[in-house]
Amino acid sequence: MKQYLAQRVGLVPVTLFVVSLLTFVLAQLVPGDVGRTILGPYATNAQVHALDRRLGYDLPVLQRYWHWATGFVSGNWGVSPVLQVPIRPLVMDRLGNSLLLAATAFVIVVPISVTLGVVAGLREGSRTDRAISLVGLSLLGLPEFVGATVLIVIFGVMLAWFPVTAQAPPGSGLLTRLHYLVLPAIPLVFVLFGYISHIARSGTIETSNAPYLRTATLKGIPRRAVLTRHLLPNALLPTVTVIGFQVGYLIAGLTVIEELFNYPGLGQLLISSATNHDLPTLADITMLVAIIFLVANILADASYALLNPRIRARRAQ
Amino acid sequence: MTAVAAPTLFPAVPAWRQRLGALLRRPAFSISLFVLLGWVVVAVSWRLYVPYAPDATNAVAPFGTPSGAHLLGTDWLGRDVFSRLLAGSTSVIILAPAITVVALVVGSLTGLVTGYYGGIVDVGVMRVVDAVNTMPGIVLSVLALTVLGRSDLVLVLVIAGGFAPLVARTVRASVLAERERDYVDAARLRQEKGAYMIGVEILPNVMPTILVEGAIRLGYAVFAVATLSFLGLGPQQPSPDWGLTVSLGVQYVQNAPWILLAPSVAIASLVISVNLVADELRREFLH
Repeated sequence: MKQYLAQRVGLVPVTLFVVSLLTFVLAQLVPGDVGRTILGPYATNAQVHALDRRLGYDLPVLQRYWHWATGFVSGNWGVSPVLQVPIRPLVMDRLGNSLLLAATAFVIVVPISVTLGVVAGLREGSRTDRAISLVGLSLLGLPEFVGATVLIVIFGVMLAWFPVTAQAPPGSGLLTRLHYLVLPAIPLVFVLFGYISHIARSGTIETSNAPYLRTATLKGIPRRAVLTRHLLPNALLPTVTVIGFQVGYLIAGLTVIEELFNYPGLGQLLISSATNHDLPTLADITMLVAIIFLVANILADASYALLNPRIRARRAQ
Repeated sequence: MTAVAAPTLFPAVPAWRQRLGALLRRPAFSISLFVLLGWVVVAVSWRLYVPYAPDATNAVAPFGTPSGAHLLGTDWLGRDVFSRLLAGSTSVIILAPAITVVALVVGSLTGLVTGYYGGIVDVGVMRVVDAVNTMPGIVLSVLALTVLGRSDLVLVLVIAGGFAPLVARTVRASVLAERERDYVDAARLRQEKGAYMIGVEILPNVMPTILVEGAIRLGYAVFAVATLSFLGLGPQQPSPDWGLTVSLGVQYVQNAPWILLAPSVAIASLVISVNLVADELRREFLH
């Protein structure tokens, strides 16, 4: 396992290199002049040339790539030509907001979906199981904005329990901020519920059929103890991993929700830099997201190894 | 997976029919299929019975509440919401299957070739597949649609490009299992060529995997098209596209919620029925 993880970590630079090439090539494919794309049709030629020079677009391609890649690695991300602010503080600030929203969603979804997934798994084939699975499967495919608009109409407009924007007025306390985050978090909860409860359910079913569980029951251990000490730790292992793998999905979900609720997160910045043709910001966000995604996947793998007693034991030997 | 399928002496048509009959008796499957086919029929035939032209504006009656004349009310330009709902099905009903077909063809070919030949081709292609999977689809799509311009073709290629590696991985795994079967050895002893082996021997046997994968991908394709058009990266105004209509209707949610509720419910019905059909197919044909 250690070796496997080392291999995974070792591949990270390679994968990031490929991703950076892909990003760079895409950002270079802009038809016509980059400065013109960013500044639009009304800028003068002199302005366009000046911007090209400042961004280094008059240099040879390889040199340009080197300039961008080393700049990214050393934290020198430059200044957004559209927003006229340094890119890195802006992106990091937005990332913080997105993480807050994502954390809210996870705090709500993990207990609910793990519980219901285990309940469904314990009663495999029953009505309860079918209902939970059907709801999970339906929610899984529902685009976030669909769930969100229905929620907005019911809870934001008709019942007016929650504000329909995501951002609390500046200077409000943590509770107020959380109150503003509940409604945007729920559509993310819907989709995640489908994934997590499904995995929790199949983990439970698989473990219920394991011989050691039958042995435990036959030894006369009370059902409650069999469940909490023997079944759950094993059944929930894959669940932990799948939660880590949801980061990729979460980025797309966050983007939609942030757009819909006008919440200043990373996803909203992604879309606005796309609509404004802010290519340097777009390229840096892409790289950052790829790094987050890779790290999350490796952490998910590592957590699986750490939590699995079999693998722990193998390492101790 | 231990049970080896008995060799089929007769064409598999009766078995297929039996399975289809069993599927149709399951309400989740038959209702979903009905909804799905209903939307397909609407997408190709709405022009015949649509009560108003979808783009016909009516300056006197914007934000009309649902009534006998306008079943689902009117939008901010006085356009009939019901007519736009029907017309809006076209874009997603064309784009999502197009994405699925492209992804299936490219992904299956890749999976068949890498799985059958293995070796360096396999390792190389799978590395690229891993790298593509590292880029969350949304970021890749936004980047590509920004740089290459917003068009239906780019939209299809970008989403299909993200899906194809996933199809390739599934098909490859299935090919790897098939490759060990006796009928493959037999054909090898007959000295059949690679293309024959892949096309005639292996492909029919991995077809259920490909079809089920296609149904699952179709669900994701509807999701992706709806999401990107909601983000303004799909069809542009004045298209009646559902995702676009929701994103434009959000600002009127307080006074005219029907503008965004109608297309939201439509997307939900479509995507849920596709997913339920795919899930039933998967359970019937892969287990």
